[in-house]
Amino acid sequence: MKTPASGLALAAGRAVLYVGLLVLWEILTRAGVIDAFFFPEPSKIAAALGDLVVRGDVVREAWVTTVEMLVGLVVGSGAGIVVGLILVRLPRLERLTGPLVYFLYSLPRIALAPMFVVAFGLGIGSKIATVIFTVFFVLLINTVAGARSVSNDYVRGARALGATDSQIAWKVLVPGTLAWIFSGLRLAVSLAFLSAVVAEFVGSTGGFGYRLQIAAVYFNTVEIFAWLFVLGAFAVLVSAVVGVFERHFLRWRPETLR
Amino acid sequence: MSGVPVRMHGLDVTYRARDATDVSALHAVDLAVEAGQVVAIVGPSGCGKTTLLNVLAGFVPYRGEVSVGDRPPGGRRDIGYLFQRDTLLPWRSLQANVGFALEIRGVGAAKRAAESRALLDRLGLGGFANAYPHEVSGGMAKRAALAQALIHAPPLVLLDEPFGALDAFTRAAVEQDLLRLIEQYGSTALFVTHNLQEAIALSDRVVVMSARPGRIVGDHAIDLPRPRNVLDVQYTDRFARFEKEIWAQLRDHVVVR
Repeated sequence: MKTPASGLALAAGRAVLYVGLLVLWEILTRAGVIDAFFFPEPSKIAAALGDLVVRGDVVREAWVTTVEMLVGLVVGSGAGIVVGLILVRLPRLERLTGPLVYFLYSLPRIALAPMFVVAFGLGIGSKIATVIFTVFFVLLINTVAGARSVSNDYVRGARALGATDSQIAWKVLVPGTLAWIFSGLRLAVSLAFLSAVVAEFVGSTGGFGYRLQIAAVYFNTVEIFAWLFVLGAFAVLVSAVVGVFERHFLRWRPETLR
Repeated sequence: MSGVPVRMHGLDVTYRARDATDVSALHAVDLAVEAGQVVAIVGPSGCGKTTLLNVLAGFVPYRGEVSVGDRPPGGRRDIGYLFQRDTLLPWRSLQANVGFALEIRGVGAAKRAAESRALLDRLGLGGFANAYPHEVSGGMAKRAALAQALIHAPPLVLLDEPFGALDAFTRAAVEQDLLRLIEQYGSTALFVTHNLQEAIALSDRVVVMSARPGRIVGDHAIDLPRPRNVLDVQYTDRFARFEKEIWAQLRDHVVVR
């Protein structure tokens, strides 16, 4: 069991460890043990990071990447869920398309980012397309697996009560599949982040990936590290938001199933 | 709303087993149930009792003539089906589960809440309206399932051994709740059970089916007065006579040779 005292001790332990690591890094770099070009001092990185924040760069690039992620996530996940439900209703179509879905799912889908940049240009359109493509299959596959896991008794019960096919889909299959959809969404969110940033590397005019790429081209390792810390913080934030949604929507589940 | 008559004539159901042979589940079943009648179906396990209910629910294809009211089964259904296993949706509170049939029919949220709340109160579950199914006992969940299946006062109620998993006392209490509701609604009810006492205590008629392929081999009128108390009625002489009479017939079909 977690007691408040042990929680505090843990927090203190963590602080000592992380601050200690940063201090060690600083010392080793200044002493010349570590090459300051490849691993610049944390103090310099912090200063660069402060600059980026003050100048509003962080918010500006975060906005670009967030829009790409969000639009891609909403469209890609939504489409994946709907197509998944359709395939559950039409098993013949599912068997027919199964190999194609599996092929596209197994593909390192980010590899298509250059093609999307060629097709849709340097703007956010090509990043959104990349995110949609990476996310779609994850939700499709999780929705199909989840709907299969929904007890057939629930479907028959709803049918006996007079539910139509679409009512069964939205009131039984989707909520029953929600746990699966959420685990799909968790994966999708990190994939969306990854593919948005990678697509920005390929060719873009803004976003975290764009700035990282520029910094790398100028061998500005201080700024590269500054952006990496921003990326990490951003990812933690996003995952916390997903967690809040998850706790809200899966409140009904017995603890053991959560 | 009151009950509908149910008619089956020359009903045949075959299904394809895994080894691709055709298995006859029901053969030449003739059964007519008057509106508002409560009929128990007893017989050896695997004799197609559940299949019979599923035909009426429109879940399985069949040959022969079947009508529920003046229509064949299937299409938009207006039945209450209580299954062996609960169909309470685990992500809905008891109240939202009970209101499900009304929600499906487009009844507004306020009216839905009031009606499901009233039915839960009546079944002694008022204090658990906001609980989730995994938070209540088996008997409470079964009562909520009963409310879920019957809130729309369905003209036809199908019950597939719904009380098998309950202890004797809870079982009698839930049976009494069921009986009160269908007596009030005037619903026609078909009731599959393995328990002969339950069959007699609840029904106007007990139909005996043979081993597979299921046929109807006996039909006993239970003219005990209504409204009934499911426990008291079991200690009457007439009850004992019915039990003896039906058991004598059932034995030939149930007992392993």
